[in-house]
Amino acid sequence: MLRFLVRRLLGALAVLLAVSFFTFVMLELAPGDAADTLVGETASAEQMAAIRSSMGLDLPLLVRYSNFLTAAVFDGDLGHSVISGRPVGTLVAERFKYTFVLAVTAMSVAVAVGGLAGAVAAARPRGWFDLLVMGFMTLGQALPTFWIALLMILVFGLHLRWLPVLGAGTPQHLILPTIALALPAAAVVARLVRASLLDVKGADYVRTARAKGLGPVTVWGRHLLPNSLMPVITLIGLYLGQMLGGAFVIETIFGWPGLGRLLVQAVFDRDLPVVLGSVLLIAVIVVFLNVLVDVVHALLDPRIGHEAV
Amino acid sequence: MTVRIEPGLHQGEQAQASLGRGLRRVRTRQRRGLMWALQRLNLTVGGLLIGTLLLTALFAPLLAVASPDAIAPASRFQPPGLAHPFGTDGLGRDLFSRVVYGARTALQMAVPAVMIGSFAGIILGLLAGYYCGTLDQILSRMMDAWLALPGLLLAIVFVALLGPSLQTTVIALGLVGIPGYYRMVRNGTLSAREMLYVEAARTLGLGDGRILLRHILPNLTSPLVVLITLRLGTVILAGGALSFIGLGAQPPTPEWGALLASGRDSMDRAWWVAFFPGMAITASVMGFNLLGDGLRDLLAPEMAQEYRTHAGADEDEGRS
Repeated sequence: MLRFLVRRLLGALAVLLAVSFFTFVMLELAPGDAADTLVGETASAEQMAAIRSSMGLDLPLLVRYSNFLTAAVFDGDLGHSVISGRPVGTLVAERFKYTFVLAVTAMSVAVAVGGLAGAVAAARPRGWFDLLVMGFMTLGQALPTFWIALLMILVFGLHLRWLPVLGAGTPQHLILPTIALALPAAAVVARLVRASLLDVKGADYVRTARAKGLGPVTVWGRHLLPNSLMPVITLIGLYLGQMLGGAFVIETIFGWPGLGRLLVQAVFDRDLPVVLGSVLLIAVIVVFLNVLVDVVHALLDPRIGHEAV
Repeated sequence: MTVRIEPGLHQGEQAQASLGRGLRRVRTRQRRGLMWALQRLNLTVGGLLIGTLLLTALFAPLLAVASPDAIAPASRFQPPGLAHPFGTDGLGRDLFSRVVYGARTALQMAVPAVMIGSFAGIILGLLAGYYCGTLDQILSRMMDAWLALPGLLLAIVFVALLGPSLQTTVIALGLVGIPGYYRMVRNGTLSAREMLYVEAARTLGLGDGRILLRHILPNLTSPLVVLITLRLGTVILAGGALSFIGLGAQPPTPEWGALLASGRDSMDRAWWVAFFPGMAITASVMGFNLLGDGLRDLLAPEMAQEYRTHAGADEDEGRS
């Protein structure tokens, strides 16, 4: 188990190193650097050169990358925003709190609603509820969240005036973004829970459990659910990564001051240090969430940890 | 279903109970027939939706009631009616025509993006799967790192690099798709290279290139067709999302996501601008999803388990 964990963590570090390098190099390739964004076109060539050397922009690429990396890892220093001049680390941390709240709320709602719907649908496959759930799943996978968001703003915000549609602050602000984010996730969770329950339902050990005379509660609670949980946990991990990685679109629509909105705004402003910082934070979150999913898998299924993975 | 004798019922009631069960059984069978039809319906409905999309894109000039860019200040925010089936926007442009031309934009975005991604993914996957070893190790690790990030995030990094435009969206979404094709082709090639027919081709002295392109690749066609179909829907969704937040196709391009974004500010006066383009996206994406599902059941049933679960999570660019 320990070896497994160490291997996974080392793999994660390698991935992060690769991601940071590629992102850094790609953003360096972007036309116009931080000095351009800072002073614009008014500065003379000498002034530009002076600013560049003061910002360390005239050093070779690899040197700048290793400088950036050492500062980031050892001092938590991700540089400064070109626009506001504030440290990127602080900016990103502030925004992450909002993203975290939204993602965790939306994921909980999606798991509760989707899990329940999937389980009820699987209890009577091909019953009317199953058909309903399957229809909803097909629709849910094709509906653009930004459109659902717009329609909800239209109905609940503008016409009924029940809920605020922009910004954050009160719990009511959380409702619409949560629904928009949770709806498609719930559809996928329902689909997976249903499929994996049906899969497990036909298994020999379930028949054995029934034949032993165990009641439905024990069969479901002790045998069906734990075994059908694995793919669902993977899905939750992946999805949570996506949501924590910044729900760009939903955050932009609802003016939710999270990481995704920060990144989108930074792209508009060509504020490359902020882009780099947010991308790296997102990468760290997603990669470690994947490791966490692997660990939970290994804990639930002892077979995994012992494999030479 | 076994025949049960309900205790405490007289014979007539007994018969009625059994008749009731029989009816229920018939109804169940009907429902089962409906399910079966629904499964085949995937293909039919998906095909119809995508056929409509293609025809709309092809005959856009004939279908449109006005030029999609014709500005008419006098008829701003006309509600849907006979003259303007979907109403008009804040510049008096006919929304129906813009949505119709949007079908062209959607395909102009999705088709080249999928071509870029599948071409690169297939070539790299064939090489990695066939030559294994170091090349496979390096490429597979790179693809893992690629996949570790949410798809839309990578696309946004490309936009940060190249500036927002329709071309950037195509390139970004194309590159984002590479690992999906890579994984499928690499795994397929890896198992195919041990097969007898590849062995035979090698014994005949055929070159590696010929074996890869003429013998191995054709055997991967079915799953690839399915993946490409599903991917077309994903790209339309993701492209719409990018354009919606202003990082994709720029106005006045008639792109569905951009149209929705433009309807946002006038929603309180003109709901239709924020409504109809969304219908078009949903119908197209659902069309490609259903068509992909249907093709999968038909051509590559072995993909069912794996690809459904994946399509849920890591193909999820348009949603978050």
